[in-house]
Amino acid sequence: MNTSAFSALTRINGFKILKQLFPQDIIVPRGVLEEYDRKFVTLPSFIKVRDLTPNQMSRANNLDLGQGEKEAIILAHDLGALLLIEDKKGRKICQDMNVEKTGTYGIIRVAFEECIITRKQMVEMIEKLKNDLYYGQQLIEWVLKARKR
Amino acid sequence: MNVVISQQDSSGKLFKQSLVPGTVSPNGRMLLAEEGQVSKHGIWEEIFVSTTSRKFEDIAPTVSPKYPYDIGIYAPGRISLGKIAELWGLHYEEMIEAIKRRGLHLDFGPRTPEEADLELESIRKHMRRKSH
Repeated sequence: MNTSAFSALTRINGFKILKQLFPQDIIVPRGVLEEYDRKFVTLPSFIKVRDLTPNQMSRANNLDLGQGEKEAIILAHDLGALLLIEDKKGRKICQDMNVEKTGTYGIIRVAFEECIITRKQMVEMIEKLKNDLYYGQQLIEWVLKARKR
Repeated sequence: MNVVISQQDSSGKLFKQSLVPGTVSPNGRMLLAEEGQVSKHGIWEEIFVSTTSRKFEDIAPTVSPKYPYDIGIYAPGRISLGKIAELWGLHYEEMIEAIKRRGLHLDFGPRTPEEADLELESIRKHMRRKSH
């Protein structure tokens, strides 16, 4: 998980949803926690904090991104993990490195489709992100297309 | 001390104008800097304001070399939020607020609904995966 997604999930209190969708490992590199102001959040116990190896850190430092962003991309790349990332430049680099990615919008939509949250909760969450993080109208409409499976 | 802003006319030519800090710039953008306001890189003397329809990402390299990290260089896709927060010495949430105060927009997420659709497949694939 990257810092931008961490920020978005904190805003909608969405960590528990993430745990329900991914009961396996949810990993945050240490750089994300350092980039993020800890006063805004208490880290849930099911989120694991990972340090990069010296080799990984060396590769991360070649990326022109913030510390948390570059650590998250390298970690996701090496683990073959799905990375939650919202930031445009970070997403572009994911694409170049073939790292699979999504954002909080995707998590919210799937959470509704899997009956983890109600439509009302989905709408409230996406509206919150629209106001706080300027989610565009096109993205809002995409989330609201969700249908229960 | 006045704030000196560098502007571009329609031909792209740069010129400078001195303004009272905290006032509204000619293009309607409120100046962020107040007299004596100290950033990580010193006291603000010069900020860059675009008066053209060109994007910040096109003109960012002309930001005053004295303060190359003006918040105006934030342009989604060109510099990441984490990177600019690092340059400014702010935490991530503080940076988001600073960008919003400046009147710049964050631009998160996929470029198109089709890109988001592809991501749905990735989410479902990884939901079925076992622990690392």
